[in-house]
Amino acid sequence: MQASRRSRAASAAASAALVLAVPLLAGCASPEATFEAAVGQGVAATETARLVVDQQLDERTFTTTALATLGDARRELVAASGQVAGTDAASEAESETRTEVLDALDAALDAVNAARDAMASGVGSLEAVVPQLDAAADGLTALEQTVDADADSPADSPAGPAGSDG
Amino acid sequence: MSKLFAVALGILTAIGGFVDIGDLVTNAVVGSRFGMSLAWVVLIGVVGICIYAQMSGRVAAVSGRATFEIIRERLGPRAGLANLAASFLINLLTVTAEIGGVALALQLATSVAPGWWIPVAAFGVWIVIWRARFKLLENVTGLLGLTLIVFAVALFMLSPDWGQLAGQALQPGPPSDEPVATYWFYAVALFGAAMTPYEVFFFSSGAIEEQWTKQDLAKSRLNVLVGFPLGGLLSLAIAGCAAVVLLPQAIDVTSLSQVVLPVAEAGGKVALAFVIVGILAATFGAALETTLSSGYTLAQYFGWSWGKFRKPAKAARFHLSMIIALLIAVAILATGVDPILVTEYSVVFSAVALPLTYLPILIIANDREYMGDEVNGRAMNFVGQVYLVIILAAAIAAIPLLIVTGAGA
Amino acid sequence: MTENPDAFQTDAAPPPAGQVLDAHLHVLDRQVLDRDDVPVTTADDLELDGIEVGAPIEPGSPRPTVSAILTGPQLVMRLFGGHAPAARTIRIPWRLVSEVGTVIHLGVAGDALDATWAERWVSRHLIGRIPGGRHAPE
Repeated sequence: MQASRRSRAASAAASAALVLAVPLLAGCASPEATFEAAVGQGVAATETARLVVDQQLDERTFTTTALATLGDARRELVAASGQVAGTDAASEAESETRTEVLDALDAALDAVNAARDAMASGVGSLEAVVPQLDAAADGLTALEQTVDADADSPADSPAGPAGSDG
Repeated sequence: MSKLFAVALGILTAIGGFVDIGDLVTNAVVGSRFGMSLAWVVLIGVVGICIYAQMSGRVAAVSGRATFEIIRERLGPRAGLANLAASFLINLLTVTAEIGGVALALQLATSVAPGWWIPVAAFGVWIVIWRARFKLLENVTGLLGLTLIVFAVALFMLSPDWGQLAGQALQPGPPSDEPVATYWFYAVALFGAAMTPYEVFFFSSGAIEEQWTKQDLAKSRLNVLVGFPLGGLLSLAIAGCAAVVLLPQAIDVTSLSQVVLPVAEAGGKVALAFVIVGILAATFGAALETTLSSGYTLAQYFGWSWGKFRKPAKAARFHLSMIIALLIAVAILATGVDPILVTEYSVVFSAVALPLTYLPILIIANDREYMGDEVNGRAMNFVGQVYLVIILAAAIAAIPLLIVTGAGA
Repeated sequence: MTENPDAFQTDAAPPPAGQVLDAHLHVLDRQVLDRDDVPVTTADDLELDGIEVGAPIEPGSPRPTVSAILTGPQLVMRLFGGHAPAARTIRIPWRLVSEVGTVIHLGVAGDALDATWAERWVSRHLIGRIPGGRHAPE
């Protein structure tokens, strides 16, 4: 009984150590993988915002729910931006991509903030935000092609851990 | 007539009580990223939970002993303590996830930040456990949770391409833009969400609380065999809604607000109202069950007086441990951690913990000293052992997959 | 607990009447209930009289008897080794046991026992002080 308890304790400790390693490993992803993940996050958040703004204009949702949704979308965009901003560019091309991604995410963030303001405090009209959101979404989707291509054929950087596909 | 009513009530409660925050989030995430290609896991999970719950209920009704009392008696105090520690901690994680879920649902209804709702939710859970009768608690939350059927209604209203959905379901395998490891990670997560360990503690302790006899056992068997599969269909509906509305827009679900988007899309404010009420009821009910389970596991291992049928002063340590569990849950959520992340971890670790409770139940269900003539038949044992293999496979694969995929990123 | 079956059998005496139990299988780690079926504790350990740990039993010496069910810090001792000082051990004298089955029944009310002091303390000083603690649920 004692031997099995010891081995159980050992495996528990190992599992704990491994679980703690998850965020550490994630932080070691290559810049391309980070850009790709961030753009994916941005697309998801912006499309969510578009959908809920649509629903609000159509009166198919409650303002409280829509505001919560926009708040969540905003949080995702901020997190994605933060991840990208924290990467080191190893080349001119990477530095350019990083700027493009940050700009696209910023545009999306502005649009979501405008939507929130219009919905919550009536600052500006919600309809006016729609083309802004559309443009931001298009920008991010276009960027997705570039960034996906970069991540799939890493030229000078080592590939990130398994999960570099999405 | 009243017998029919009782039967219906039992089934409806089982359906409504099947879904918790783990099912809501995991099925929505899976639907939005993998379509219906993981539907087979829900099927396996539902069959598994039916077997599991039915066996543990039978053990409790026939032997008069609840799960953790038997685990200690049969496996010895050391194995029992290891089992208790793991089960209790994972249960605590689930309590945290459910309370977080209640807070998130309240945010959808009121736009007040979840941080404010967390202490309110925890207090609400405590006060209901403190004062409400067991049966009432089960019935109200179960019936209100039934409003989650709106997910199925919404799916129909969306007029999806059923052929496409069926095609996804019948071709298990990751879509082109998701790696294989992530697919299997979510398979394990979905399995853990369907076969929650707390269900067993709750079910068997509930059998003792309500003093089941063999007749009650037959009724419960019906509830389980009809209610849980219908609950499984509900899970599939949640995934289906996400697959139809969110997957084409590349919206990966990361928040509860996205889970309800398809319902609003399909049915507007009315449907949205139903689904929010349903989510509130389902997560609140699950919070009650998991909190009670933390009390049950501790009290049964240490031999304390327990049970909601006793006044709190007569089951003092039982109630004290539940209060402490709730306080810990609030403390964890007060750090600002995303309740969705807590939920995702809780379902994965539930998969890891499953063998700890499943194996003892299987052993005891075959023990004539406890079960007399009601031991498992050969068919039940065969299926039970098949599931033991599946459960062990999921438990062993869970942590490596968690690491390799970075928690499904 | 060393058990040498021959220590219990002599040619002259008849086999023991009543229940024959395996202390480890049937008594240890069982739930102990009082006369109203309220749980008291689990049987964490047993106290044996007339026997010393590690010393062989001389043939013909009087039989060891179970003198008490032990609880308190006993569980920790059993799991990890060592002995608690006698003052910290909580004893339930064996003469209070009325029945041994899948659970152990005592013939007395739990409140009279040392073994329930923790429960009574928590009940009186914590749970009982919260409003509604002394009422049955609605």
